[in-house]
Amino acid sequence: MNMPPYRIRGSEENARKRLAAWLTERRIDQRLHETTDPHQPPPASALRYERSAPVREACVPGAVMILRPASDVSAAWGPVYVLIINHPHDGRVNGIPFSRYATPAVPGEWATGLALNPLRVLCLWNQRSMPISALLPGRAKTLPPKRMAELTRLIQGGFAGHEPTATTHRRLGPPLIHPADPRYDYLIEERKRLDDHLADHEKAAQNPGRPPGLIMLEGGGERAEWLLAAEGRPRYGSDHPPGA
Amino acid sequence: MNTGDTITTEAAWRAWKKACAAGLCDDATAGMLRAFGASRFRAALRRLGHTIGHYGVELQVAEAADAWHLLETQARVGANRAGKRYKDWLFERADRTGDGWTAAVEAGASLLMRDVVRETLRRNYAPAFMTSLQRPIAGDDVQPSALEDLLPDPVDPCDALSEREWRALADQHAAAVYPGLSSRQRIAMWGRSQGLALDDPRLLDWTQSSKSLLYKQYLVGVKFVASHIARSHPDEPAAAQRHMALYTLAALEKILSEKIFVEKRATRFLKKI
Repeated sequence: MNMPPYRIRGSEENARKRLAAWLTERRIDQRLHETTDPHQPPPASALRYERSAPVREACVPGAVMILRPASDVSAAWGPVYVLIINHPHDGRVNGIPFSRYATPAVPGEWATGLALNPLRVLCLWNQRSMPISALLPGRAKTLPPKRMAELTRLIQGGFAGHEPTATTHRRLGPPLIHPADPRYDYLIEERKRLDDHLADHEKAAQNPGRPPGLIMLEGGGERAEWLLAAEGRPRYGSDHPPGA
Repeated sequence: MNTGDTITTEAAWRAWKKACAAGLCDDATAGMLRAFGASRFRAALRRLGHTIGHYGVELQVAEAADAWHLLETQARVGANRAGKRYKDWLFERADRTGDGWTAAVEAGASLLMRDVVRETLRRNYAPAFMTSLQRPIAGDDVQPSALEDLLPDPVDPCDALSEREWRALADQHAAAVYPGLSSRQRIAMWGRSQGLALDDPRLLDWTQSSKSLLYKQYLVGVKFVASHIARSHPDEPAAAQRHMALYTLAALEKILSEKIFVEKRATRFLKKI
C-alpha cells in the first residue's frame, strides 16, 4: 500500500536535545521518589487553617511567593514557588507555579533565563486562580521587570493565537506528539501537586461562615485561634519556640 | 533535645534560621547540620543505585561533605532573608505535624536534599542512556523506545489533496485496527482522548484493572497501531510511518467516541464520567 505524497520537513534535533535533558532529570527524580523515604512523618493529626496572614501587600504582579505546605505532609513535595500575575481581588489572585526541573518539559513551559534553581522554568499551562490564604506571607523575590514584560507578551500573544518568536520558541519546551509520551504522566502529577496544595484553602474559601482564624480538629470540633494566643507562632529568625 | 529518632535538635534548627546560614552558627550547630546534610545526601544517592554507575563512590566522597552548603545555595532565591523563605516553608510544615517537630523539620530538609542530589547529578554527570536518537530511553518493550519515537521528524503532506488522502488512509487503518484491540485497550485509549488520567478510579473500576495494568494496556494498544502501520507500509521511511500512525490514532479516537457505548458496563460507568 502506498502512502500519499509527502515531504519530510527538517529534523527536530534541537527539540530532541532539550527533551533528552528533561528526560534525564525526570528519570533521576523518579528514582529518588521510588523508594519510600523512611524519614517522612505521618500525616498531621489535626488540620490547621492558619490565620490569613497579611499577604495581600506582597501580592503584586511579578512577586514570587511560596505556597503553604500541603496539609498532608506525608506527601513528598518540596516547596512550590508561584509567580503572581495580577493584583488580588476578592481574596484571590492568579499564580503560575514554577517547575521542579531545570528545563521546560512541554510547549506550555517557559525557561525564565534565571539561574536560581527554584525559578528556572514557569509552568504557564498550570496557571491557577488561588486564595491568597494559600500563600506563605512575604515575597521571596520579584521577577525582574524585563522578564515580566517578556512573559506578559508571551501570555498575551498566546491568547491572541500568535506564534512565539524564534527566540521565545527556544525557551519553550519540546512538542508533545506521541500519545504514550511519559510527559503526560508528568503533567498529571504536576496538576495534582498544585491541587493538593490548594485543596484545603479552596474548601475554606467556600465556607465563608467559618472565620479564617479557627482551628479545625478531627471529629468536627473547632477551637478559636485566640485560645492559642499564648502559643503563638515564632516569627522568622525567632529563637523562641511556640508556647515559650 | 535530641530524640532517639533524630540526629539534630530543635535548638540547632532555630539557631540556623536566625543566623541565616550554618557557617554563621556556632561550631556545634554547624557540625550537626552538616552531618545531617551529608547523611541525607548519601541516603538519596544510595536509592539511585546503579543509575550513577562508577561515579557513585567519587560522588559520595566529594559532594557529601559539601551537601549542606549545596542545599543552602540551591534552595534560596536571593542572598537576603526574603530569598531564604524556604525556611518559613520548612518550619510551617513542621508546625503542622503533631508530635516530633524536629523529625518533621528533618523530613522537610530531606526533601530539599533530594532536589540537591538531582541537581548535582544533572549538572555534573552525563546521562548514561541518552546518547543517540535510536537508543532506548526507558522502560520495557512496550513504551516508546527512543527520542525519535517521541519527536519524529515532521512530515507534511504535499498539498491539500494529499492531506485529504492521508486522512482517508488513516481512517481505513483505524477501522482495520479497531477490532484487534481489546476492550481494556479501547477504554484506556478513549479515556486518554477524553483527558482522563489512566489512574482515574472510574476508569479502573470500569476496566476492573489496576493503574499499572491499564497503563500497560494503553501502551500495547498504541504499539499495536504502530506495528500495523509498519506492516502496511514497510518501504516507507520511519518518519512517514510514525506520522501515519499519529493520523491513525487520531482517526481511531473518532471511532472510539462513537462506539464506546458497546463496551461492557459502559452505560453504568459513563454516567459517572
